[in-house]
Amino acid sequence: MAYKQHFIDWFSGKSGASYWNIVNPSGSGASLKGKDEVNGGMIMTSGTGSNNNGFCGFNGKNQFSRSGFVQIAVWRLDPSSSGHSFNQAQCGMASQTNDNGQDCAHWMIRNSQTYIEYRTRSGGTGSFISTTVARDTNFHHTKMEAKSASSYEFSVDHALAATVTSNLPQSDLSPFMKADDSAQVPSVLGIKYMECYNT
Amino acid sequence: MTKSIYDQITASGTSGTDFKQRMVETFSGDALDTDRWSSHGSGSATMADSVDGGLLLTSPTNGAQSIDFSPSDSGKIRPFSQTGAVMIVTSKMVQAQYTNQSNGFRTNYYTEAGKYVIMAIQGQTNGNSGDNKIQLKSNNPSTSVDTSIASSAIHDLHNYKLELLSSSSTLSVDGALSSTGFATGSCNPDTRCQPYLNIATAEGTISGGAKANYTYCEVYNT
Repeated sequence: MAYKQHFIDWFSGKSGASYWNIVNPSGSGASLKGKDEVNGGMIMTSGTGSNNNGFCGFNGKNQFSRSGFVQIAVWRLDPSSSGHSFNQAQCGMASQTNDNGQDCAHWMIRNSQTYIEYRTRSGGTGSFISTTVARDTNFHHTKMEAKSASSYEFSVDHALAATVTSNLPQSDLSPFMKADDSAQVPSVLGIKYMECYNT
Repeated sequence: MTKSIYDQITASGTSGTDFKQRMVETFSGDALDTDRWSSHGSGSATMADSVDGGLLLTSPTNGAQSIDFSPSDSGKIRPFSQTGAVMIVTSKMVQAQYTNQSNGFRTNYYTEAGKYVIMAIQGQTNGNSGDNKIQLKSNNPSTSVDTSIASSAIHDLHNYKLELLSSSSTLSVDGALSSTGFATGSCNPDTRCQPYLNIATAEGTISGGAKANYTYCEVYNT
């Protein structure tokens, strides 16, 4: 079998690698920097102003098949976030260059919610669904696997949370991280591992 | 079936909290990855145009050149544990005269005082006790433990493994677990730390600077 695309990032060093495209769909000052903490990895910060939405991705280079990929990440809503209920962090796969509004499959940790959530979208259709894993600021292992174009598995902390068969992406995908503060700065996503590969 | 690298390097079911940070650097390409590394000194850190050359770290004529994770004193990035971390380095010190190579863990920005545990490779200087030796060294507490690597081999390409344990540190050269290429001492940094690679002149000047090649560096918490 021919080698398939395989991406890995350990998020170790002073700042994020240049293959990450960091933008602010709204606001300014999003960044990806090393964290001065044992096993702290890196932190992606929403920005330095108000109402910031920071997005970090592959700038529309969608190298992972919507019908057969795996994404593994170890990440968190970082405790250095402001703690406001508007703080949110997302990690997953999307087809867009700057936000996750259309075709996507991802995890989400929102301070306004009790549990960690996940979502898929086909075009603009699809909503957030809660797991039974409590939201906190600890690192979590998340995994998404596209078993086919019509079946995605979502696992959190090595336990299957759901198999999704509706509202799945209609475009190929690339990994992303997002920190959104909705004017309650900062919102900070912490991450120490990400792996994506086609199956 | 494609297997994840995650599952190949961690125990089954390792939690997000227990997952340990790791860094793998192969020093290949057009230039040093300055998103990851900060380079300090008036020498240079460039990629070598030679087979297995990797990174060529060159000191100034009289002084030091190092790379680490910290772009500034206030911006130190120290993700590795002083009591549970490993650094593996493949490197070659080019000259033996007036050259001092030190690679390991430090707690500080390069211009400030701090604690360190390092692998020290030193050429001939002016009669310094570390001349022509590969040693495990630290300043917490002051420690210099010799390996028995022959002086004629100190500027060969070697694989070094430095490990910070709960209340001691070890250095293994070329896979040795005892005897010739092994040293151990009761020393640790006193807080979290960053990896650094350093080449310097020692007790003399070197035209064109002291030089060392690095082809691999891996660091991880245990």
